[in-house]
Amino acid sequence: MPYDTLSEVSDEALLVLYANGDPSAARVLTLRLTPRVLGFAARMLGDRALAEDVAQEAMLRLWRIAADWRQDEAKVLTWLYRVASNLCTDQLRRRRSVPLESVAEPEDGKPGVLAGLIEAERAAALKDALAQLPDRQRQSVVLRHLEGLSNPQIAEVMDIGVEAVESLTARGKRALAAALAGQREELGYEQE
Amino acid sequence: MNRNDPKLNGSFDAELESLFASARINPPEPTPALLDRVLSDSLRLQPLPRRFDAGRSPNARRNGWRGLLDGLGGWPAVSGLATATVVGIWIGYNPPTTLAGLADGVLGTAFSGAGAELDQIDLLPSFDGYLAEG
Repeated sequence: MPYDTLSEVSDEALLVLYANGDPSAARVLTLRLTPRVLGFAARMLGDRALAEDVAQEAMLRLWRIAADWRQDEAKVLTWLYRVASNLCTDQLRRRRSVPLESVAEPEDGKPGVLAGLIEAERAAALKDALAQLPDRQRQSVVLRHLEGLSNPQIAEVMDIGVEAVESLTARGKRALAAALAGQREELGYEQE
Repeated sequence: MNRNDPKLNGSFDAELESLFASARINPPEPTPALLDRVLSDSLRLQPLPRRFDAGRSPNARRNGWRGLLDGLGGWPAVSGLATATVVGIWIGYNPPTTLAGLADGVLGTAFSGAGAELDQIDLLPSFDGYLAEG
């Protein structure tokens, strides 16, 4: 199937096409899903190299399950987040202290140098604060506020109830607020 | 959410949302090398395209003796046919006397008789004839 016509096709339909041997579907799924998994893993782990390993492994498991995928079972993205969550949890168990280097640098010349610096500081501060959260709180906050999933979707990913998701997210945000409280001026919020 | 927490009042909530928004705008982007690795995995593990292979299709399995067997209705039907065939051969080789008389009556008389005409053959004799014979 031509590549252009696949851009509007759902993940689930693409996975069926992939399982039927369509190489274009493999390419579209790779370009569409890898950034999502990588973004989630990077925010969960705070380590770019580990996040890439998790993203590749999660996608690898998707390719392996494609032939047996049941369309009524779950959304591909939800399934992928769940796999990535488990992989991240495994990584975090192995390495409890998360190094805080390798902050994604903002691209030069975008909102001006000063604003760019503030953006970089904000990104670093958020990353540091996220790293201090308990794993489950970080997972729910990242999925809700950075990956944009709904509470029912997060509940499915984390295999818990919606109320538990709301509770985890609220506690995570409170902890984030507490962690960032001392940096408001540095992050340029006192002047706004 | 505890709205009485001074650290999470409306202002700070907005600031937190601002932080999230910044992070959403600048997500970690995959490098071309990572995408290459993932794509390579996908093509390596991709199932082969489904083809209508004559050697494997369901229709192909119905050809030959297997197809004949399926067409006849399977082994039970074939065993019934075999039994009927053996009985038929046996009757042909050693016909019962009553059957021979019947055959002579139908074939010998009707078709081998010199004066017999087709319009004289009564293939459906009247019921009266059976009544008369008892």
